[in-house]
Amino acid sequence: MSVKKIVLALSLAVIAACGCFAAWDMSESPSTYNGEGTDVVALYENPAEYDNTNADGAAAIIVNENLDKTAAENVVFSVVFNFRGYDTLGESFILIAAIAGSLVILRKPKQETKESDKEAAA
Amino acid sequence: MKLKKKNVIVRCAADLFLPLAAVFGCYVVFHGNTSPGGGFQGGVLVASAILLVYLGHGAGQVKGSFSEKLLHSSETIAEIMYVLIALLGVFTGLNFCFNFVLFGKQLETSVLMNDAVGYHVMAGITCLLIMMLSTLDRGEGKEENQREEGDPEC
Repeated sequence: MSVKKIVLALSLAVIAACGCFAAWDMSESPSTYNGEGTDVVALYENPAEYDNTNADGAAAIIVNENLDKTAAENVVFSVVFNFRGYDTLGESFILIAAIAGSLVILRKPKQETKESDKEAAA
Repeated sequence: MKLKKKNVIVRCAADLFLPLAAVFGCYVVFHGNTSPGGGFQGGVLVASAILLVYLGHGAGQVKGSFSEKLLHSSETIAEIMYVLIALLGVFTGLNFCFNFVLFGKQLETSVLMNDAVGYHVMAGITCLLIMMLSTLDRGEGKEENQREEGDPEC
């Protein structure tokens, strides 16, 4: 028991040290896009002529280099299936899990009806 | 017994609107790359066409027309299709899930991924609806079968 506890404490300490190092390292890196310099009123009134050359982070890449990177006509489609393709894959797996679970619950009464049908036929 | 028998008007309306619902769902799936909608929404639209079969012809007809095992396995096939199509870009030096243009500028592989998701959702929701309808109709199964056999108007 004591060996297990020592190993557990050691591994937790290693994980805590890695987390602290990552937090310290990330605090020094430049901040990502937070919508600070966005003029919302101008963007809403005239979206076609809005100047987006100085945008930063992933938003600028998605808006400006969409056609070069993904060859998709629609930006929303390219976000759902290219930039966030893993997200769509995970959603599909969630659907498989949900349907498998409801199959397990609902399958039992179906077998009963089959047996009753056989009895009625015989 | 009069209530158990489906009305002719309901049956004809279900027969009329079933292909329209299915075609509209397929339209939403196949135009997902340029218009609102896509695989998930269009797949649910196609799957909801099965409710028209239930309204018009009863749950016994639904069980006879659709194979549950085939639908459940085609769900898995569609998922494998999605992963394989997404992997196509890796062999040409791009990232996973990124577009690999097949014939010039005509066809991107994301469109095929969209179709795979539509197939997957259609099969899954249809399977789920068949399960639900079969539990809903548990008590009346014998009467439904008798009605189908003795129905002269079908």
